[in-house]
Amino acid sequence: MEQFVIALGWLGIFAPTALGAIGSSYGCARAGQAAAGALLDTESGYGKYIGLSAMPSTQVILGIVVMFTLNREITAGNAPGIFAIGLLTGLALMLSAVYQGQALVAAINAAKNKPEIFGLAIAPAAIVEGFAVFAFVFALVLAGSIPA
Amino acid sequence: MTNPNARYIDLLCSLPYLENPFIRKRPPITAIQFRKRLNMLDFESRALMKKLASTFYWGQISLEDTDEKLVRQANRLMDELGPSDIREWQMWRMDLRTIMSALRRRKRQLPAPDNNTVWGFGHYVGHIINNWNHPTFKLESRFLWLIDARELLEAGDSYGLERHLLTTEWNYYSSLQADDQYSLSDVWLYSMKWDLVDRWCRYNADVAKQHFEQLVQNGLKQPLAELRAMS
Repeated sequence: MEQFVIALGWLGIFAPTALGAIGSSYGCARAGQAAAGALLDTESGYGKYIGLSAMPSTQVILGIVVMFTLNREITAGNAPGIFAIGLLTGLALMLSAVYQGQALVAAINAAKNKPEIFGLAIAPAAIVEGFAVFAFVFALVLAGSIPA
Repeated sequence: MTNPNARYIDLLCSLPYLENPFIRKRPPITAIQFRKRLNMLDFESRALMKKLASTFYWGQISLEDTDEKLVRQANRLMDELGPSDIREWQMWRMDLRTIMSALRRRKRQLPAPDNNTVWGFGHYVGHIINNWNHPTFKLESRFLWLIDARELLEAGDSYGLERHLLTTEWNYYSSLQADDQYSLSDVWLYSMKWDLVDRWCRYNADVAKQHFEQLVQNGLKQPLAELRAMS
């Protein structure tokens, strides 16, 4: 039983990176497809579309930072806490990257047809990013209270 | 988790915004470019788009095609589509064509088609035959465009009628939204609107005049040659 609990602890450590990577891959791929499509239809401002499509990569970076913060000697005492914080942070990062990718598809499509709304169009994607940052910050705060 | 259909995102994002056809002088994307962009679709989607276009684009219907052939083709395609948003949209379009076909038949003083004649498609074929002598086949409350269309047809105002029908179709397609975002339905909706813009932009008075003069010249060439030979 103790081995199982320790395995869960390791899962909790790596979950933010793994789930964050899955979400970032999905989000960047969808936004990247939209950006590639937009490049065919525009004559300038290519960089801003490609730049936007990289936005969901933040989540995997946040996941890596959480992973290093949680990384410590796993014991039966601290494994449940690491598992809970790591897994939930990972899920939050993954889903926020997926939804951010969808918001970016819509933003790129709208901004391509109406360049003057570029700033406003990316606001929803930025708000989604804000939720990922909430999960990240409070994961770091709670990680400090887990026994070493 | 809502999953936008990845296969169509790049294609749809590569297509320019379509404005009202009466504002623009040419479509924002040419027919050749549009065809090239549609090559981004997978094989099955491309085949379906081709079938839909050959049935519903005016430009792809030849003068030799009979009503019966077109109706049977549309029937087959509708069965293949099954219940879907594309089917619903095209049923509306076929209703419009059926009603216009009936108005034109009646203007030529033809009697109501009998039950053995395949001449129209959709929900209202029987209803139209039953109300053949009513000015708008008792459909004016269901199709608000019908009263004006009939008046323009009776007045012989072909240009006004075409503009009225295109406006009606444009307004209809502009009010629609596909059941799934970034889906094949979205691609088809775009291509229907593109077809309307393209058709209207082709109605160029100067080009039509030149074409007419060319036809007259070609028509005169042969009698002139015959006269010269006789003299």
